[in-house]
Amino acid sequence: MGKSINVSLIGNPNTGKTSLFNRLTGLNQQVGNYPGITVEKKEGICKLDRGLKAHILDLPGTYSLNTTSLDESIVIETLLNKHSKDFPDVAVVVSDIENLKRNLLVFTQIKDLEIPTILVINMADRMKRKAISLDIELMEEELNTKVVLVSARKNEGIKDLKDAIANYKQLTSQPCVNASVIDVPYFDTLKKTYPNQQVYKLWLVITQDVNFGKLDRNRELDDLKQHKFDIKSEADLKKMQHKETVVRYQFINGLLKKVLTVDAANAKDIRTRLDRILLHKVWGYLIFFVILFVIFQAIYDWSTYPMDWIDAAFASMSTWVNNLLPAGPLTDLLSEGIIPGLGGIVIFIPQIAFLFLFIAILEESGYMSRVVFLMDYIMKRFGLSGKSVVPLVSGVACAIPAVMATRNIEDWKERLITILVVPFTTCSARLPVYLIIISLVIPDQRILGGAFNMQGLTLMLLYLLGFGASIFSAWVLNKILPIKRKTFFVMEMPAYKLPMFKNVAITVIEKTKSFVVGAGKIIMAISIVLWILASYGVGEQFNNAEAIVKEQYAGQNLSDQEMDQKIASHELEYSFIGYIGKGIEPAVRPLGYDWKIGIAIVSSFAAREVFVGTLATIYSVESDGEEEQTIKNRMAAETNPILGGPLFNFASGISLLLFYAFAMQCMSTLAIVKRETNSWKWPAIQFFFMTAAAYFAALGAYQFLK
Amino acid sequence: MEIFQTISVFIIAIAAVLWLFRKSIFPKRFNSSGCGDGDCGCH
Repeated sequence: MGKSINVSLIGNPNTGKTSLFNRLTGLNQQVGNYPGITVEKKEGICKLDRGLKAHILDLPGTYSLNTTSLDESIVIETLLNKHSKDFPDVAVVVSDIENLKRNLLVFTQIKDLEIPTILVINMADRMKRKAISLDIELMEEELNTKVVLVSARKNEGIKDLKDAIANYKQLTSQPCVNASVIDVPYFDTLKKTYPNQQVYKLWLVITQDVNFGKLDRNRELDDLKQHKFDIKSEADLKKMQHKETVVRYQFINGLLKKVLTVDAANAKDIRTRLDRILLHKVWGYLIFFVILFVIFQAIYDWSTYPMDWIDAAFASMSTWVNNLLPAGPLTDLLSEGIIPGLGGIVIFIPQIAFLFLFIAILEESGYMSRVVFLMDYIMKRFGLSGKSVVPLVSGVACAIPAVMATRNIEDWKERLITILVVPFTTCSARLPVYLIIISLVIPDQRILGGAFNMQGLTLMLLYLLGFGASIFSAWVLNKILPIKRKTFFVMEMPAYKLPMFKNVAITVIEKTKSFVVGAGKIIMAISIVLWILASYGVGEQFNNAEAIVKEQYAGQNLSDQEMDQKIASHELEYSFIGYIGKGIEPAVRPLGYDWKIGIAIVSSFAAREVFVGTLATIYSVESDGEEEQTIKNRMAAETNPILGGPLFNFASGISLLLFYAFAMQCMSTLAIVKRETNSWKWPAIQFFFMTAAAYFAALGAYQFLK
Repeated sequence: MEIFQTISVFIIAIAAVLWLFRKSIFPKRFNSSGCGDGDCGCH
């Protein structure tokens, strides 16, 4: 077995660390052209020359080693704890060619920890276009390290980086800045007190105001006090930290003057011109809404045909299985339970894929960061800082990474409020419910000269409603839990770039696969349970359903098919699920739903996507099995048992859409909220508040529109 | 044949209930990066 070394990838947010990590390890971790994607460390293996293996650790982005948030503290914990299994043999600091000045701050700090460090300058492919030139040899000399130019996007310079890592023993661990000049006597005393300790490490332990997890900071501080070392007041320490930063920037400025040349006259910079329009106070928002509009129109227009094919294919598959296999309960389970249930999720693959395609393109191009910047302007008016925007925007895909993304919010109350409101943003699990209900109750008409599809417009309004609900709830919560200390939102605007096909394809494939496979397993299990509950029952009404129905309709001359349908409906009504549904019905009837929708709502408390699959299974059991029916047709054919007419009409449809827009129907999100808040109190409050909001919004809508 | 189908359905149903029970009582640990990274635990 070859030798393995630990390599930590460190750097400012959005310098391309994760892209580089993917290049080195061959893994496919999610990347994005906006900061804050990585909030926990990720690990992978990279094979180097001579049988050497590198255990690569991708750490969350940090601007310096003066940490303020949870994700940044992971970096310092890794670098300060020599006994940790992750302690690096070599640190690779990733910087971006266009932001070298700011990126080098953290580099100089890591060098002071005397860890062998390599400086990677990423996005080097832009040097020519931006008319940037660098004297690498002089830079290596001044920084006492190896400097490697790479382009993770274009897979350039990766071999050089691997060679540099493999030869890490040749690197000097000599610091490039002497931080002790900020208070020479203080640092001298520190060194005398601990002659065998690394002075800059002690300095970092003294000055941090976050917890270090496994690294016992309090023990180190107690130890210092026992040695009668004067730690200084917090205010004095902050002043010294500022001085240290100034000293470091003086060094960096001096260095860059010597090694970096930018010929501004020859730079073909369209970034400034584009930003002037895309971040404009009026045009910026207008363009964003037009982009949203186009996305939702396209989701509808482009996916209609594949959606219909999939729906028809599953209907044919049910009939085929029914005809192929011998009659019996297993055949019925497959044709009436599992296949329609799975069809209820697979049908949405085209829309989900298109949604993630657009999100990936927006992220990759650098536009998503501009959206975050625009939203920050709105968020401030509702009492939150821009740091809450990244979780809210990423909540469009899934609330779980969005809740985890709140880790870069320093203030606890602000973080809590963001965690509590994130599930209002429209996640991809709501999409199947929205799509099927919209297709049933909103006319497929074009307005304004055929330019806009009404269904696409409704979908966009639902997304805006979700975002509106989250910022309104944030405003209310801010009144109840006032945030004393607003965090600063420092955000780097990444350069615009053409989306990389590979990254976009990975995002679309991985996210669609995760949606289908993850939801598919739950739906299959729930479909099986539902089918059992819908196909079996007890009592006279269920066991003698055929005789009872035949007697009931004796004089009505029903065809065989009509009679079979009546018997199937009667059996379903007196099956186990029928009894459960009837128990739920009084609670959902005022919202315009029947007991079958009630069952679908209850089962979708596990995950929202289950709703369509549940209805598909229930309606499939109820059908006589003669006719090949798609999910959409079955739902459209349902009639309201009391009022008559279609069950899914405008009033009940809007009521359902509002219910799903506000309800907290995701066990996984509740579990992650519990983990992040370390208490069941907050997920319980979130669950009851959101469910109550959903119920009353749906009730109001139905009663008003019916 | 019907007996075979009934027994199969019974076994499948028990497996589905046990799987759902295990998933809700002992949920998987969420991993780092979010939905879409394979075993992210989002579902």
